[in-house]
Amino acid sequence: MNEETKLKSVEKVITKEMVENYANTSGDYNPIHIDEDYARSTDFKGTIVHGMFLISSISEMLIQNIGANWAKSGKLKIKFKNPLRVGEEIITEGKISKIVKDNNGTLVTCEVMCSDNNRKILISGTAQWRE
Amino acid sequence: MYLSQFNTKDQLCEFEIELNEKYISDYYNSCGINMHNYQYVFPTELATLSLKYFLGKFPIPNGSIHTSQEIEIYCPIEIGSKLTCVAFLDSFKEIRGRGIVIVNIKYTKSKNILGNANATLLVPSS
Repeated sequence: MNEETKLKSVEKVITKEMVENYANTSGDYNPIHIDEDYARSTDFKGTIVHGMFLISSISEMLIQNIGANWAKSGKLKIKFKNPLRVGEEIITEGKISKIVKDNNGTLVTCEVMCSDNNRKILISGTAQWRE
Repeated sequence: MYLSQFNTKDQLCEFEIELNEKYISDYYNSCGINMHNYQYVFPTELATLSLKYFLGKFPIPNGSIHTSQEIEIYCPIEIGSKLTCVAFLDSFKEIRGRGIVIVNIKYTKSKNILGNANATLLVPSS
């Protein structure tokens, strides 16, 4: 793996059923995520996926590409830019931006980004881990 | 306003979480992630479970927006671990009637800090 290496991306549609299951797992029953009638009355005009659900796709990508090092020393710093409507596709991508060797080993920095299928950015940030 | 009864750097609460196999399995199933054989907890699983407990103690008002998230694991956390989470009000600013709140959570086991998280929330005035 070198600087500029692109990680294998993750693409998937997040369904209403997945969001309802995630609400049970996370305990986040905010109606903006699960109540279509309520959500239609808000600026979002419909239900949106939990932000923490969206960042799970970043973890999924890093598990697939990096494996155990992501668990052992992972650091994630992200900003939520736009919501994803329930039923829409999320595309998660990453690119290695810096590899630094120091006394503790090698610190890898990766730019991460989630977007929808119109390429609107949902999340951007950085992930780091040690190798 | 949300958490306005506290001062910056105050400890908000302390709670225990158990990162057991059932939770990990539920997390992966609900997120549509294929299970793997790693014995460790990944950062987003940790952040999600601790936020669940924190927001159970301090529910955020409707209209709040989660604007950013940081999570860092300092050393491996095995599946099945029980951790103590200590939450602090890291900062609070009021801008145009809305609050920008940063909640910091430190993850500890036997007094060793294993990880750290910061969640930034934009909350409406109450």
